[in-house]
Amino acid sequence: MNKSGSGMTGEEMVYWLVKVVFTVLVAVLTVSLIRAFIMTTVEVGPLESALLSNVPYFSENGFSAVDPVTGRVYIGMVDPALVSTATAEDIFKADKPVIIGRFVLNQTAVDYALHPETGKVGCSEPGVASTDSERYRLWQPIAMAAGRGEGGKAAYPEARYVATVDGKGAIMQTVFISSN
Amino acid sequence: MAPRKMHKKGFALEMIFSALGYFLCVFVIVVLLNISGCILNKEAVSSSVSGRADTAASLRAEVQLAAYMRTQIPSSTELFAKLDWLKGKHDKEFAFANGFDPEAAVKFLDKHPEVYSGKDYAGFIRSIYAYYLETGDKDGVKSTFNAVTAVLFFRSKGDKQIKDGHLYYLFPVGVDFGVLDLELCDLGYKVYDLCAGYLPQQLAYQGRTAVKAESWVPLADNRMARVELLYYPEFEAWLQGP
Repeated sequence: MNKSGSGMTGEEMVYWLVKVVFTVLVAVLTVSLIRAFIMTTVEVGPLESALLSNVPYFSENGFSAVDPVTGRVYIGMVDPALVSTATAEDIFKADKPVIIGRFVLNQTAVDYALHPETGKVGCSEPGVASTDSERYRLWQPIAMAAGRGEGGKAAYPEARYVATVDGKGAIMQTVFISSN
Repeated sequence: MAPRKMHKKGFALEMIFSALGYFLCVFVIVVLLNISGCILNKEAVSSSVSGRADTAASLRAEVQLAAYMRTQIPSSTELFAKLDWLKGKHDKEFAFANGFDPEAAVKFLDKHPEVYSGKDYAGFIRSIYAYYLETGDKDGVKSTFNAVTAVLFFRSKGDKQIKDGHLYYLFPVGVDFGVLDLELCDLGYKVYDLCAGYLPQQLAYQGRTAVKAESWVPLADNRMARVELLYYPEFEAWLQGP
């Protein structure tokens, strides 16, 4: 207090200033410490893509055939009619900002050799599902040019054998592209 | 003046004790986090993430094997057309290990439609076991299993460096009936009663680590056949592009 009883003296103001600086320093150090534990530079793309690539096969709203009565999901048995961008966008909407995926349903090698004119397995839009078509179109050349795990975009491709509801087999080619 | 000096001393002590208190808290937190294993270096975290990715690959292999089991064996016309095509490939670009013989398979399948007609792959394994128990025809069982597995699950990858433009491969599948000892083949680390697989030389170095998926097929005599698929995630990722 100053002599008139209102406000602080210059000396007290300096003390308070030092105290505020010290408090801010402590707060910054604490936040930095916590961030140091949380934020690491670990590449999670391979794990994220490996997990996400399984989602459409296990989800009731995914690509797998579902028993309409019991609701059972037939893992490994794909219904080509369900392979669509609308389905993919719906099940991956939560992950859209960080990673994009594309699924293409193809004939098996022997089927393609015998009937190459029907390369894609019959679907409405022939066997292609994308979580974000527009962004895939933009990111794919960058991922392709940079190579896997390098540059601005990293691609994590895979292919898997799936059975289709008509009892035949098909190859689902999948790629997830993440921003580095 | 005196109260002011007291104030300064008190303030300095407060600062010192605050600082000491802060660093003590930090020290305790660091010790606790260390004990609970929360402080990891980048390598440890990377290794942990990679371990989880392996688990995901294993899940992928399981789904594929489930798909194998649900695949219907095609009609005789379609099956023989596919075998014909495969026979041509066999002569030109690749060779199967374990006695792949499409001609013998065609003869067998022509004679024994009950083994595959109207059945899925699991049903086919069940039938071929029953047939073997009944007849003891090792060669017929061996060549037929090999050929049917190849026809159904053969894969290819476009490769401009190859004359045909495609690189062909078949992930190894092994079947163990448990009681029988056909000693027909092995997939490198284990002997199976029946097996089929082909990994071309160009890709052998890519498939360093196999992920094993396992499935069980109930047999007619209340036994179970164990079916294994060896899946190579690195290899497959290398084959595909973005």
